[in-house]
Amino acid sequence: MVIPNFIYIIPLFILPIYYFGASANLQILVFVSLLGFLWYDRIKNNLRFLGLVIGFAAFVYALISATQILDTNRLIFGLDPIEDAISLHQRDAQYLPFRLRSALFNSSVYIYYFFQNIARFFNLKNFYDTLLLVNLYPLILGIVQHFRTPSRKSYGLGALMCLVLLSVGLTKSPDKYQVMFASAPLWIYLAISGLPKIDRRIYWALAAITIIMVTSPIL
Amino acid sequence: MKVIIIVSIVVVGLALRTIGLGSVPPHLGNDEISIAYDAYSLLHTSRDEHNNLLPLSFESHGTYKAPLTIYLTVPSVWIFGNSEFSARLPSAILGTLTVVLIGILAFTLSRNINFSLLISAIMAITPWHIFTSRHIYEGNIGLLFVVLGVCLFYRNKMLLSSLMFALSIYAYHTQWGFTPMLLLGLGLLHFKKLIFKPRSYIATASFLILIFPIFLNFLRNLGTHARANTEFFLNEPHLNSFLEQSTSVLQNIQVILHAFLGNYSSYTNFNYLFFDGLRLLPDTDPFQVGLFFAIFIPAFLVGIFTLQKYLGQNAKIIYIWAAIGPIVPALTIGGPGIIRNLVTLIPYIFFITAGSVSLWQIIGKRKFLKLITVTLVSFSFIYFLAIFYYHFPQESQENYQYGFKQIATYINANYDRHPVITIDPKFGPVGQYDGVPHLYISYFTKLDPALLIARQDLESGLYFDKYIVKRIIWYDQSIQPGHLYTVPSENSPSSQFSNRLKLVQEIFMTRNRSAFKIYEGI
Repeated sequence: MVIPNFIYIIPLFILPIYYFGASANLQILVFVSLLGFLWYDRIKNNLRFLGLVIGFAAFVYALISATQILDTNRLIFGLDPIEDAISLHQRDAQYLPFRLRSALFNSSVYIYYFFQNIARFFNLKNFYDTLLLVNLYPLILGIVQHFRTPSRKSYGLGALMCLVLLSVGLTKSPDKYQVMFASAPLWIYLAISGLPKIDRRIYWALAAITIIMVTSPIL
Repeated sequence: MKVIIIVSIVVVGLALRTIGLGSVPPHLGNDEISIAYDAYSLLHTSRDEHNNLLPLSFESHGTYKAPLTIYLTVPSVWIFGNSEFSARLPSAILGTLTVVLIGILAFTLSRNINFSLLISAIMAITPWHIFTSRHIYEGNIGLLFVVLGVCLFYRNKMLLSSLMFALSIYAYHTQWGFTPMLLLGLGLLHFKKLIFKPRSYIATASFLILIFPIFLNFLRNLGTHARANTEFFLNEPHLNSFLEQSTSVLQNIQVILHAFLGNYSSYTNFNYLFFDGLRLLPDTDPFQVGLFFAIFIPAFLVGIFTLQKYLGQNAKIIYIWAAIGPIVPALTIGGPGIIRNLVTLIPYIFFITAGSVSLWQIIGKRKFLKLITVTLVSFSFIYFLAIFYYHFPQESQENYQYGFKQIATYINANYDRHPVITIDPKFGPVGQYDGVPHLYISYFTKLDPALLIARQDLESGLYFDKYIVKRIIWYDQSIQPGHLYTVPSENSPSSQFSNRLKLVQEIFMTRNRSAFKIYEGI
């Protein structure tokens, strides 16, 4: 991967998540794991494997800490409104025999809720609040490139993306700064991958809007 | 074969939009009754409820509606009488027409008949469009004219196209901003082609001449722009206070930019688009339905990148459409509104269709995957039918002011028995909302519209014919024998009034929840 002109990297080092995100330990882990990703692409010997292992472990640790998905109280399961709604619809759906009612309205709604949680979390505002608007442009280009060039490298990244989605989907109310901070290596890596493809006029226009926004009193 | 498919799509689209039109949604809503009543009033007096002769902006209950929908509802009310069905029918029929038109638009842009059939089929079963077609929503009519306008533009019928675009502006307020932006996009995309064509100048001039009356109406401050003032996003209290405290122009720009982007983001939020945008059930209910089936998310994402494969250079207008669609809605107050944003339905359906075709090709000959896909789409559709046609009417009665029509039905049967009828306009579980019973009563009892026009709107209440619409406070209320009093059930009189009032009717919602009580003075 060609690292482009350093000036385009700068916005990736002033992300709001570094400020609002997490503890110093997590910051170190994030950068270690970022290095792991970069090595994965560039280093051709055993160090690559080591970097990957450390990076992946740091990534998983940071993500679990951020979303606390090991804390069962933070999981989406067993929520009262959901359980109540299942009972209510099973009782109300009188157009169906009772057994069929429980086939249509049952706990599988948690799967729906899981995906809904992901959809709710990954919105434009959460992205530009945490990663800055200017970085979203190369990030999108990086994601497109990732899906257009499936390779061994892409499968690894895909697995990490799935991990992020899983942790967000399972957590009751994931905090945007914590989650985006914990998964920062992924976004930064993808943004760097997209940088060579940017149209500089669009980039600088977005940079100008970003500067206006980050100096705003309501950030 | 293709004719059979087209006919099937139209039949399914029409059935989904018209079957049970009077009962799903369960009652005419706040805006719907206003449109229905103004259509009824126009039919008999050529005036709206506020005594304006053939207005270009309907004051309604302070919402200042665009005119076209109301005028289109007049023939239906004339033919079918005063009912939910007659009021909603034009929207349902024009919605079905949009299902056909999007196929024609897709064929015009892609020259691919299979793609065009698929896009119509997806549109026919899309929850967002079914929902809006079953209400009298101005946005639904506006959408039809935008699609027609673009379609005619790409078929080189410039003059007709300009007429349709002008009509879209008469149909809904979002189009006031959206249509000019779309025209600008079309102009920029086809600049070289249009610049040397005299017809394009004639079409532009026609468009400007056609929209001139509504523009003049706006300038004359006949109430039209009051809508823009009340709905403008900067009127949100917290934004207002930020703007008042800001010390520089830059800070103002920053606040506005943040608010606008936040709104734009909420209109493009996948949770809103695919999981709970329709809000058919109470907020905490997880069985919500999105504007599109959630199963279409992969197709939507893939379609964004593959649309060009099917539309070639014509895909650019769809991308522009998708980008500018949420701009006007994002400038309004009160969170995402599915009607304000309805124009974006078209590009999103294009993405979903392109993605569906691409994914189907990727699946290839893997029959098991195809079976799973078809099963999931079918299940999503059946699930939507259950929620929309059965659970939604039961759960949403309060949102639609359910009960005022039933009060009108009682009054219709007993009108001559009561010299004065006093109606409490409140509704809701604790009577927290103000309804518009004067419109429901007048529409469903077929009251002479001249009587409502001659009303007296005083501090003590609204007086017309033998009706008084005011908040009833029992201790202050003079109770006369033979007079009728209707109140939300939470405002039932205490037992000390039992010797002076007789309960003559109670109106129930589902699960035996009492909505209104009607008392007669004794």
